[in-house]
Amino acid sequence: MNQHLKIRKIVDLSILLAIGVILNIIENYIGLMPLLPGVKLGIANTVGLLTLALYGPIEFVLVGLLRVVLAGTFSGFGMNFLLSLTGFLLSSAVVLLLYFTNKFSIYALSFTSAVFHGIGQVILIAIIYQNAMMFYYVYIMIFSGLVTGFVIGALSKMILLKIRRPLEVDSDE
Amino acid sequence: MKKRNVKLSKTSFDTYAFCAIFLLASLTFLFLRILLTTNAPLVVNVFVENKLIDTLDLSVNQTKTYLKADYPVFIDDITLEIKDGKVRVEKEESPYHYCSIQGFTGTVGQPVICLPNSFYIVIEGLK
Repeated sequence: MNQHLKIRKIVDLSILLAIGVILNIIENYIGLMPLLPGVKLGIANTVGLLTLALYGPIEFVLVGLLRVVLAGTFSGFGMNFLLSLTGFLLSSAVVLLLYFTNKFSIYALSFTSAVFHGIGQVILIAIIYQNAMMFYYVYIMIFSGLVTGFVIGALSKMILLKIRRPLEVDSDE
Repeated sequence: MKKRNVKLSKTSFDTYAFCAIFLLASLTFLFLRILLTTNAPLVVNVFVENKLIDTLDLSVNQTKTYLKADYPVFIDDITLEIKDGKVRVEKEESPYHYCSIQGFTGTVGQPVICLPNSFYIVIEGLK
């Protein structure tokens, strides 16, 4: 990779990271459904999907991990940080598994990411409280993850199609 | 720039994944419904740091406050209100107020969690 492309990649990833952190922080203050705590649109996941699609799995993990840590720096390393980190680790592991099969589209990557992010959070809460009752939230997180994940997948696809030419991304369509 | 592996068009594998996850969620929902259905009188179990600290009769309208002085892990005092067979966290202090925003619930088994206060309540059948 020549110097110009290397610098451009660093700049692009930094911009993606900055957008992800801002979206992450904003979303903490916007409950999608007050009756269902923890249910969020997960709009910051768009950044993760774009990074995966444009740069690959290593950058996807690095940007995602930095996003969670930086959001924690601004919002505090409390319970929200632990929930975000657990959700991210589980969801990114599943997303990478699907990604390497090369059989799933951005929609499937998005909704499995959302679903397993929720499952990871519920598992952590059940461990913290040592109470299996917390698994009551699992089906709520799965159903909501399917819906919000599908929306985020569609949004990511739209963005990818818009920025495809400037970023010289190869299309499979 | 490296060639993208992420497909933009839906594939049949997407449908399989969606169906598998939907089935998992539906089975979890049905399992919980069957597991939590009870004919016993309903009570609200109140937990702090995983310990059961109180059990309140859900059929009696009442308001009860748990003091920070008694539970130092609280950010501030927490007030519960039971009304017409439902319970809510009426007052609590936390960054996003998720547990008080939820309002009244009468659902058996669904915990109402005040995470920053290490406090949660669950409606259960009296054992």
